Amino acid sequence: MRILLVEDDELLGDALKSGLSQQGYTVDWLKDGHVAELALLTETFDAVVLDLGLPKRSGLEVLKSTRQKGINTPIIILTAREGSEDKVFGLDAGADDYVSKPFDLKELYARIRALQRRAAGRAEPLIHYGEITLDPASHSVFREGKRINISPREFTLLYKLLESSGRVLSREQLSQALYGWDTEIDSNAVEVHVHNLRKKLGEDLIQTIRGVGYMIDRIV
Amino acid sequence: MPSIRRFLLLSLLSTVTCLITGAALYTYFDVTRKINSIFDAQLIEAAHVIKHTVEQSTGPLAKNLGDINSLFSPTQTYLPPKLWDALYGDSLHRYDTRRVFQIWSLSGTLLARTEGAPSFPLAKDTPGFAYSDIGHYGWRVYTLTDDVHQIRYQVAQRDDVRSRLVRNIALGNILPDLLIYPISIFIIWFSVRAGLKPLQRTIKEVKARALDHLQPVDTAQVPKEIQPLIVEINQLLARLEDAYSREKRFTADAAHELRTPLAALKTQAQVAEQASTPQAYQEALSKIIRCVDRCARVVTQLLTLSNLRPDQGLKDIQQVDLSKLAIEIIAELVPDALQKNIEISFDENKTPARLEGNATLLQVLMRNLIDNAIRYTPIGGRVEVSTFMQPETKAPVFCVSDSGPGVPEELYGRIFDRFYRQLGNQASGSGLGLSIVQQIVELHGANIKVSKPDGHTGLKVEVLF
Repeated sequence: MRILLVEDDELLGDALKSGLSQQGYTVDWLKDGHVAELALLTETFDAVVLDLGLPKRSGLEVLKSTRQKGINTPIIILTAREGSEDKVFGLDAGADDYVSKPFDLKELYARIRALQRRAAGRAEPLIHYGEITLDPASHSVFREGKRINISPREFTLLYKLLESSGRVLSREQLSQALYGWDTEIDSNAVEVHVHNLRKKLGEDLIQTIRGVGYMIDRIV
Repeated sequence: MPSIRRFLLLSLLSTVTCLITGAALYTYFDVTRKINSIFDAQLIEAAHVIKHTVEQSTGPLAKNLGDINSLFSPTQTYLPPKLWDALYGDSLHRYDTRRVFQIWSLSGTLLARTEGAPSFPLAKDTPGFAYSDIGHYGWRVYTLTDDVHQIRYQVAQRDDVRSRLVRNIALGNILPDLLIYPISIFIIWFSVRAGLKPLQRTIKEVKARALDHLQPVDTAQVPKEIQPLIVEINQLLARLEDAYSREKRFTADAAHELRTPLAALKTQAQVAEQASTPQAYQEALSKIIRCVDRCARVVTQLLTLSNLRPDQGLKDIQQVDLSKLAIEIIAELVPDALQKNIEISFDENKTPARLEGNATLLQVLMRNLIDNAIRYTPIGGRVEVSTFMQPETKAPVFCVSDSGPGVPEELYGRIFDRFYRQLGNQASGSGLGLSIVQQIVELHGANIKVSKPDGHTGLKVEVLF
């Protein structure tokens, strides 16, 4: 799961990046509104954590212009002001949710999960697929009620494929979701994770569409 | 506590009391004197009327005492009707003056007397006025001697009756004065009350002011006499309003400014809580310490700023050598500059830049300006500090210029605002440093000038004392 973090404050940005990474999210951290808007227009993210007080282009401006351009990525805003003004303006400009500084990380995680759930068109927090159950909150995967030992990257890959079941995801999309811009990626990394997932959950769960990418079929 | 109302009431009432009492006393004595002389004149007149009547009855040329004697029988003590009428006319009403008279022969024989007059002389036989006590009463007696007919007339009036009359008439005259008194009291009380009423209204107006309602009092409704007071109060209210809204804004800004470092602190603490490796834990902890340092710096700056109240004036003024101070501060900040490989230089002018000021505050001012310059200058840049005397005004100047990115000219005014931080700057700061500088500059009655350094980008800040 790839999150775009837009926060100009070094200390808070750093803390949020660490926290979100701990949760298994791939975090891309940008520090001004202008770059953030460009990134939103050109790349795919699963969610955006957006501070309102940004240099160059304020959070509100970023919200308005990206929504106008048809970007539907769930956006959660960080507000520092007392009172409801910032929240009202933010939500009306296209934000999906907000947290006020100082906030609780767990609450932020839960809100991000809720936004992802809604974005995927679900209301049920758990994802069920045949005999497999995935719990985004506890980062755990069960097969026939038995917990499967799974690495954070494998979890993210499975989550991503399950959420978009019935659609093919390209290798680039998957590797971006896993690594963002941060790390130099081994070109085989996605294949290795897919291989491991097949070993743990069954060979025919993830299908390879040669030359395109991978998919999990929609359950009939 | 002096009271205008009490003063006005007391002074007006005592004045009116004195005036009316004086007027009443004067009227009383004047009327008494005049009425007494009128009564005296009446006695004289009565004596002459009796004399004339007696002469008429006996014939104008009667020289014979016997003729006159024939008018009165020796035993007759009462006046004949003719005389009675002449004397009293129709005066027998309540102002009956109780006059009596006797007619004596000069040899001492009582020829006639009115009822109520004694048979002995009313007074001694000297002509003119006299007092005598007869019976229980005092009498005012007028004696008239007719040497031609050898007759003496004595007309008298009972003194108590006379003085009762005098008193009645005099009191009647002063009664209007006395009636004026309560009316004046009422008018004075009412006028003072009505006159002070606008004051009450103004007091009520001022009373309605509260900390969140500091609008000026409407001077149109205020009496002219206290207008200057209300104008002063309004100015005070304006200053209060100003200070109060500044405080409010300051608190709000401070809360806002602390929110982000606090959010970072909390987030970092939660990251530490969830850390899976000892290294990650240590890293998060050291970041927590940085967050706390930052919060502490914001708080320190806020306290410095809130202690710099322009209305409280400058304290601990002493002779300060600007260049000496500058060298101290630069020495203190050189490590920071070296860390960023910034070349920091100090240019001391030959003429020492001295001024009267607060050394501690001037140090804060210099530290903030130089620290800012170092903070915003990129690695390998240059910071130049100088002190000199302005050639024209002979005023000392402290100047810091850097080779950083500078500030767009239209934002020069804004950089001194509290919590204003230039967009896109990477340096961490509270946004309070220049605001503090501004306050110290104001306290010293100095001016601050921002410009672009000659020949390169950056910011040049000059403090002109």
